[in-house]
Amino acid sequence: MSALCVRGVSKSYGSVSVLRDLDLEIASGAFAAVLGVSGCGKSTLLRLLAGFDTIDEGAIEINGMRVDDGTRHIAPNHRRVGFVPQEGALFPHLDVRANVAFGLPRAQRGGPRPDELIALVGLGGLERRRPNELSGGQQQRVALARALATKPDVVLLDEPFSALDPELRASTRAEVRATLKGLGTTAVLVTHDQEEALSCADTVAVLQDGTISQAGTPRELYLTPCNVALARFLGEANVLPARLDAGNAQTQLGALRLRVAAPDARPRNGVVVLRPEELMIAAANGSGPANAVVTHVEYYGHDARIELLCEHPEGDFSLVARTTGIDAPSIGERVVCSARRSAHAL
Amino acid sequence: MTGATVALGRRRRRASRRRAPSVLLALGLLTATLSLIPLVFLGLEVRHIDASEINRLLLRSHVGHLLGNTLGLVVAASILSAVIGIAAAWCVERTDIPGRRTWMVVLVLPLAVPEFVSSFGWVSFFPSMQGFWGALFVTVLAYFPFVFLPAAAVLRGIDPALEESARSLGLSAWSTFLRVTMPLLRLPVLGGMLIIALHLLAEYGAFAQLRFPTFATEIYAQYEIGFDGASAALLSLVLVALSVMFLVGELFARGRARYARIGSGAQRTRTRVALGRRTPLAVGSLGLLGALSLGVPLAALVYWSASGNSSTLPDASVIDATITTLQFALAAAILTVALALPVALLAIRRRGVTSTLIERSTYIARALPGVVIGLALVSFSIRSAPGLYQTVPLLIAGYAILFLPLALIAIRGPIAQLAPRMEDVARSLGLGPLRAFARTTLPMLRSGLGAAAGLVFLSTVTELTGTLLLRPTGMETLATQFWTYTANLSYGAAAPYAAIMVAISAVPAYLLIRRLDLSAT
Repeated sequence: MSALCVRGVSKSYGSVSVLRDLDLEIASGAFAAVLGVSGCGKSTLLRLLAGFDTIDEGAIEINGMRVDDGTRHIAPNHRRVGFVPQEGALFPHLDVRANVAFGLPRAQRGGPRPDELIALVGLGGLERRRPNELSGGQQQRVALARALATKPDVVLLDEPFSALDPELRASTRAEVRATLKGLGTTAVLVTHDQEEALSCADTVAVLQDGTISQAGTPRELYLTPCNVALARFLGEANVLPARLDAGNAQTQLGALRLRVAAPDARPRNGVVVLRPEELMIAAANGSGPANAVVTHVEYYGHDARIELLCEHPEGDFSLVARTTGIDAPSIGERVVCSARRSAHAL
Repeated sequence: MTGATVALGRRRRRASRRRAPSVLLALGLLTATLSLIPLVFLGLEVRHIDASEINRLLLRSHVGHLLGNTLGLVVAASILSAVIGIAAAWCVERTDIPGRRTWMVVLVLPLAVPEFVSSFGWVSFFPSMQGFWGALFVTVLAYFPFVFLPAAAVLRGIDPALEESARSLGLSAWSTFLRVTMPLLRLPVLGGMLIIALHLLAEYGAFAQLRFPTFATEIYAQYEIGFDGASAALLSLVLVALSVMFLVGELFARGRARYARIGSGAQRTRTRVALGRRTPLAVGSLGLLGALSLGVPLAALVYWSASGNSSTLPDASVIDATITTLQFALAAAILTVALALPVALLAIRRRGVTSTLIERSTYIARALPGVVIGLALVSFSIRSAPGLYQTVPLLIAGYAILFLPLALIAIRGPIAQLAPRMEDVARSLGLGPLRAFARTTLPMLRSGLGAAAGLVFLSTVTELTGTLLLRPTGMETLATQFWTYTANLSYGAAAPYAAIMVAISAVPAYLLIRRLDLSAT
């Protein structure tokens, strides 16, 4: 059964249409990410799920319960949806323990439940601290414990890591994911950071122009994006014109097999998407005549980003490749550039 | 590396403390001395009374009566103002009530009407409005904006995510208000209630008109009857003690809590409560509040101004009084800001025992009502400086002592935000300490100093009690001439003076609203 089911939801503010006919389904126990650029409507989607705002059209179901269908609207406090806002939004007038216990019935606030949750998020010993005495990562973990205390069906996380500095971000992310996975709670993470979405979600739904343009596992999205804009949003991409038939593409880098075959497709003109790491660079001497010159190198140690100018009878073109730090060529070097055997066509 | 930075920082702070320039210290000490003069001279007056006399004076049933009146009114008026102020602020900030900006203006503007003018408005129309209930009615209508303003600012500033989190944790809208919004409103509302309490303790004019005896009216009466210095000074000390009690009480109620907004992320838009069919009720309630607090006093001024001058008192010139008032106010503003600046600089930039003591001593003036400062300065000039008695310099000094805390509040914020590094950079570019200050810090403080001067200026324009006690014979300000006429029931002659005062003091109310609006963006 799906924990969260959104069908045909539309929402506008005045004349501005934010969400259009949006469908989204999230399996029970999944850690899902909704990925989109700033202002694409992903926070609005989260607010509709939590019940802070009402939808114009469509329907939202949480664990089979219809919470909003444009006419009947169930208040946020009756939805069993936990909410972890950006920067935690801890209650500044309460200490850590009182924050975590906030949503519990009065009789349970003094009981063991808050302490269990504080221990669960690894903050034992900080019960008496005030929110302003915690680091950003600690605040996020308290916010998570607070949301989990009432055993919600779904936890919504609104860009919870974006205010943290990079090192803290990765570790907090991992801890939050582990906690939620351990409890088997369904979680929806909203983010604009494609690396965050790809690295920690089981499924990623991409929100473009007010609707979900593609949903799938991180691997599916990265390797078979549904349009060029999405391909570029998920990571650097070389987009080359190609002549496509049922299973192959003819490109300036030679013939490539299509990753997703289209058996009944007629030959047509299209493009292929090649990630930088799908390009191979070899020194000119051994493996044949050089076809490219290195124009720029960004060396990161573990790997390097290489910009190339490829020579082609129909006109030179630029490519971006990625090699290991050891194999990085130097600027001006003439190299042989080739693609792996398969590619994604659009 | 972090350790090294910390150590460096510590050394830097020590160095800057040592550097506190002696000029700044001397100026600060001068200000502190000035602020302490009233208390010292009250003490000197009382010293001459022996213990049995003190007992007799204080234990008179009259004092108990005054105490009951004053405390009863303070408690009732501040609580009622808090309820009305919070409710009005919630309507304006959290609902989709039409005309939010207009309501904001209407509900802050009562601050522009001095209390003795609004009580004049009510008493002139309804002479039976007297005693405790009359005083409660008029003062709540005059003072609720002191709670409304900070409450509106907080209701607007709270991160919507806080209340949304509470809702998603299963709380109803009403429990969310009680368990999240109210605790966050507590400090600003307490601050507003403290201001109301201090105003009520200090107010003389309004209660004289409403025939409601408080410490302030009694002190003034004692003075007028024949300058019973000792008795008036003793009552003054009790009044000061009460003020100090409220100041300290608020400090304790505040506790160590500081509810700073955590993090710096973008605030989300909030959804307002749709009033629907309740809109007429909300509009009607706010309308009634505006009509009672602002409409009636203004209507009285218009009505009596139009009904003409029927006074038997000698003619006075509104223009002369206006000019005198503006001159006094300008002098008071300049002197007060000049005295406040070194104190604020010392307190914030050169932390240390001396500077803290200097700052605290000026805060004592917060507990000194105008009637007390006036009385003490009269006593001071008669005893120690007869040449100063009933002169303009003494009056201006009185204003400065009275409004120093006000100026300090306005200056402190901007100074605290200044980066001391700016002056360091200027020094490293070859400027001397004075020129570095004049070319970096001073220009950046311009708006803060302007706000402080403006506040003092406008408070001086509407100051009545201290002016009555300290003004040179024959010189009338708008407030004192208004007072003379109303005491003689010449309402038609009095009204124009009040109208000009209100027109002048509408400016700070407007600035307050603008600041609140700006803080929203």
